Amino acid sequence: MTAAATITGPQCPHCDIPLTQDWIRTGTIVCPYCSRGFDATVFHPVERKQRVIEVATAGPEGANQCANHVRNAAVTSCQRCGLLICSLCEMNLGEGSLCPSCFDRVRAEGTLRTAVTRYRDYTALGRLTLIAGIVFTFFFLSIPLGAMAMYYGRKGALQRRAEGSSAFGPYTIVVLGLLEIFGGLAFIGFIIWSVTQAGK
Amino acid sequence: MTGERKLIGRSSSLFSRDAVWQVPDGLEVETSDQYDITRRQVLFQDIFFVTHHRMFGVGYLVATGLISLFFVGIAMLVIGIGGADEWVAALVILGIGMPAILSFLLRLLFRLDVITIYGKRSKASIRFRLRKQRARQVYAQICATVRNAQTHMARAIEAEEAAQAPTILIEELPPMPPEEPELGPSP
Repeated sequence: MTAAATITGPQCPHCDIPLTQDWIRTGTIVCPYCSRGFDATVFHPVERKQRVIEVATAGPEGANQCANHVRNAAVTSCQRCGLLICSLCEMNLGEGSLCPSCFDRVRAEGTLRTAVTRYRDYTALGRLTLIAGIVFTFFFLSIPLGAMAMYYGRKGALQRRAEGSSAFGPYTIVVLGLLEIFGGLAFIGFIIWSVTQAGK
Repeated sequence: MTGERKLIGRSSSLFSRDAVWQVPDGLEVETSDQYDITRRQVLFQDIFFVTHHRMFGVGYLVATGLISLFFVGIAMLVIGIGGADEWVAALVILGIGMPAILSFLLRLLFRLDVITIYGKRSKASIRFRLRKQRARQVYAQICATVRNAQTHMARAIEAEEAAQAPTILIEELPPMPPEEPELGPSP
């Protein structure tokens, strides 16, 4: 089951069939479709009304019209393209106002830090490269893979710190990666020593 | 990245691993997709339905049940063929299958507690395998936090609207021009 998905409305948590308004209430509810029960609490979120000023009522100082909505008065301009925009078009995530088109572009580019929802899990990558290094020791890959594990472990630690979580796991990966490199060097040394011994 | 995060639960299934964090303005759901993490938020101000239910999870029960049956079957077969002297081999086989047997029995006994939070645009779910008390606590805590956040927001909006209420000026209309006498037909 996906933990966060787009939904169309309240559903029965057992069968995922949308519930009609009659069935949405606080207390124990028995689903009319699957007849299984669940506890529920209903909330009534308040809608924040968007205030839009029409050009006709904006007065002489606010008479500029929005580039997308000709009847609406512009409240600001896009900081990227300079387009005049109304309060409906203004996209502000705490890093300045943008028009919808520029917002889409910077979001696609990934340059708007607060709009990034997908990122790399460096701790998991570090774990993978560490295990791969152990598995492929006999192919002399533990040195590069150990170094990669250290690199990803370090990046994972920075990532965890930035979000306020414990960086113990990533740092363990860094230490184990270092040990893996030493192990790889020892293995190569052992092979060279064995070959020289066999030659004598 | 968001500061002040507190892990409140996880939801793992065969295909996805999710972690649900509480952040100041809502719940943040991190979905692990191999080596990428997708982060979504269910804002407290958008939540309109929170549910708590218990389920067996038929797929999980069938899978663990079949694996358990397989190992128990082989153990019984070993005893059946080799006699009671082969109990050590049967125990080893049962030991290998023990994680599946335990998982099956634990799920059958305790079931799975699921809390689902429905926002206007997204939903989040948290699963609790054994900690039933914790599941109830989290359910109550989420409901209380949402209620609190929505009350605060309603008050803030009311205050905002009161501050921005337009003052309507009733201006007196200018006096109408005096009525002109109707002109009769020209002679």
